[in-house]
Amino acid sequence: MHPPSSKTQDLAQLYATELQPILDQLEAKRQEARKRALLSLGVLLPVALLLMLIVGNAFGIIFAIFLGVGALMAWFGINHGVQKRYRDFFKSEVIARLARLVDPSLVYYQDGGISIEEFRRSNLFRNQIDRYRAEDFFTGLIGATEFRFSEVHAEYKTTTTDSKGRTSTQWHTIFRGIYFIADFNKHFNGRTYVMPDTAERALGGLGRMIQSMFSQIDRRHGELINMEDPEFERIFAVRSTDQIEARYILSTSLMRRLTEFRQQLNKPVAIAFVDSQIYIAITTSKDHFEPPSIWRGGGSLSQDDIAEYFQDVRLAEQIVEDLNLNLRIWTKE
Amino acid sequence: MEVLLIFFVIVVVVVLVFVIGIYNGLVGRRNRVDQAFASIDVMLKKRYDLVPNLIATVERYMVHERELLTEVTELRTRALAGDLPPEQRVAAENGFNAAMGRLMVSVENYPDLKSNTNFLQLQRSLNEVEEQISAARRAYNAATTDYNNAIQMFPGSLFAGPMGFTRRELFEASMAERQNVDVRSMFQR
Repeated sequence: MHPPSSKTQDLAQLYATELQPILDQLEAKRQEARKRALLSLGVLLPVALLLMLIVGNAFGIIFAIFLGVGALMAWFGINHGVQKRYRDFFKSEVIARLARLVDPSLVYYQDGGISIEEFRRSNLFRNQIDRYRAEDFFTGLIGATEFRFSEVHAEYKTTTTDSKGRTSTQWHTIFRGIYFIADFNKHFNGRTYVMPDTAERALGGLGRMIQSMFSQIDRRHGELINMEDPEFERIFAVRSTDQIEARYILSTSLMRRLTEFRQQLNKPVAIAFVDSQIYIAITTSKDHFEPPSIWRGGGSLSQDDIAEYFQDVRLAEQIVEDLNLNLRIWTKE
Repeated sequence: MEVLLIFFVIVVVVVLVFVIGIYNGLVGRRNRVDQAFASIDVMLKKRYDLVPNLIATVERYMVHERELLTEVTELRTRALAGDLPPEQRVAAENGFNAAMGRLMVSVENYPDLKSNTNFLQLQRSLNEVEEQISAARRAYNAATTDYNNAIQMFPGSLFAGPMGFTRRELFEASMAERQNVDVRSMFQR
């Protein structure tokens, strides 16, 4: 994606000097966690099976199932501590070092996250959120641009009651992925949204008509605005409370940059411009900044594996560069 | 007989509703064009409002450009007069742009001025207004394209002529303004 830069060389150097011993320790922790998991399974499984057989014969199958679930929970309980230590070690030793390599000002909090208020402020998604989790928080300053981002998972629930009066709860994901907030380089007062354009891609001109009619009804994101850049317009749909301001924010060069950014990323991206800030929500299915699974084969993480993590940690720097947020020639400093 | 009459009335009502719908759609679009055009004026006015400040800041330094400064001030007054016919307005506009371009080029000869914080702030404001003017022009072009499409495409094209809707021209940068891009790249240095 990016040409080999001094950062990649720095990464190679960091890998060779600092990271290798840490990764060996990490591997030892991983092996330990794996051994513990297998050992406890070896002990628990026959005992549980035997007990289930006896209990099942004496009191009925339902009790045997309860016992099975209990055994499974016990297994997770035994292994929780050692696996958490493995995960924490990876985050505090590896990810934090990668963050410092990107920029000394970049601070990483593994348990922190974008707050639910900030998530709501963009108004990108529905605001009735029933369960919200955020982790892997990064914050810092690149050039003149302040930024923060984290992994976010927001859900809402629906409950259904069947004919027998039993209620069941379903959780639905509102957004899952990386949520990025940065200071934008221009002042503005209204709200402008750049959303993935699903209708137009599927239905072409007809999709645009339906979209336009729909935006007359759903005023939450303002009116639909037709931008001049056809490629940009194919990927994104722009809505705004002020169409001149939307064009002021989305200059022809920013439209090009956003198109390229979206194509490189190859994931759904929704962007909001609110309160002179830019909010970028990148939907991903991958759980980022997590250590390799304890069941994974092979030895310590290679340099290529680390480079992949590094790419994720560098996200902010990449966005600031790609969108040219450090260009400060307007009144906002 | 009665059935035929009812049928006839229904047809007339449907046609009427259809024509009213088209007419209102066209008026709405034309008003958007006018609104967009007016907002260009608002942004231009905003830029002219910066000029007295700019002159006040630079005249202490630019002792050799008295003439140019007077010219800028005069062109501003003329462009702001408001009662000019469109062609003369555009001419005054272009003259002002050219004079501003020359002014910004001659700033290069005054290093003290270039590092004056007041001047730097004004330069930022000017950049911002330029960007807003260009956004307003793009909005005008988008509204105009939408309007022109509506009056030239079927079924709007059937009614546009008789109802007095005529094609509007798009905003195109004049040659002088195209050269102004050089000025902007100079700002970024």
